[in-house]
Amino acid sequence: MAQSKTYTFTGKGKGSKLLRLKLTTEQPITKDSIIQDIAINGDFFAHPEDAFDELEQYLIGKPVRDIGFWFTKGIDLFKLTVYGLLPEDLTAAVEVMVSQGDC
Amino acid sequence: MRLLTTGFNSAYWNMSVDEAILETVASNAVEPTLRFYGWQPHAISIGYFQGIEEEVDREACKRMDIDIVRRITGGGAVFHADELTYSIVIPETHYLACHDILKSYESILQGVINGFNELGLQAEFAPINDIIINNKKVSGNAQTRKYGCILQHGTILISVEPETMFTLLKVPNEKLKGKLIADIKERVTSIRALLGTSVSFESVQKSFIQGFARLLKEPLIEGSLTHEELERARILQETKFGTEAWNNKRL
Repeated sequence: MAQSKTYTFTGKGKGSKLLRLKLTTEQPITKDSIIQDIAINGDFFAHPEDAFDELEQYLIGKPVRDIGFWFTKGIDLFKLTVYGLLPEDLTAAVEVMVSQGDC
Repeated sequence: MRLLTTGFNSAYWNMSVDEAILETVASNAVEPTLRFYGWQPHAISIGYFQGIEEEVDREACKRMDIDIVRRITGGGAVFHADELTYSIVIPETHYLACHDILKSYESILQGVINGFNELGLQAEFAPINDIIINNKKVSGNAQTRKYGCILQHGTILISVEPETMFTLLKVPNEKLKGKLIADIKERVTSIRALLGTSVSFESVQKSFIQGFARLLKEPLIEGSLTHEELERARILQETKFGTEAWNNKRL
């Protein structure tokens, strides 16, 4: 059975706030890896704030490659308003994680 | 609108009072409220979506007797030292509240811009949530919406010690992206630096009260926290803002 690892990313999309993403998946991470745990931290705004915690839970079990799609679905599902963080920021962050792998 | 000047208090108490006011305005027990306050001891507040370990040097804070508290609002970590902080709570139906978040920041922050103007400083709104003078940040702000109300609070830097601030905060260089500033310490300024002279908390507070008074259509009436608000703030301090469980969320 593949071991799990927590991958981290710190960065900022154009016009967005700072994003600190922590993603736990099987090791090594690929685009097809399944999100086992996730923490989307940073300087952004979202309300209701506690619904964002639910959105993170919702992303668990989803494939890494589709994180932006499921994030957008989750925003609608949990009736969230998010400022300073775009689905593209998450997609770009996981692309960096995948490209860097275990480096 | 009710005006509160609550002086200097701990980080835990300050955040508890802001939330207690939010709840009581939402229940129509008190008028929409504008509050000004300071922080003693000095403190760091982190945004709701931040992890304390990622943002703050806890050992340095311990050495320097700096409290750390998580806000109910998003945004970044802030070192609260020589500053005036304001909070405003209004119903979402208030004329300053817009459905569009950026517009509501802009309309409320006009009071802060007016306050700088009272001091002879020309400030401007820098979306999403900052106020800048000469391209440097002099006020950071954060907003949330709960129970049909908006709570917005923000800092107004009276003086700033970048060395201390950036010893306590772990600010990654990525944060500067798109800001055309080489050194992160060059990103902030203060009323004292801009005026070239020291100014008191009280005189700055007076200027910002006048600044908001110019913005508001209704009079600002000095008041005090109600018995219910004080009691609720005590409970929030004990069960939420003063607890490890709350402050260590999102580790």
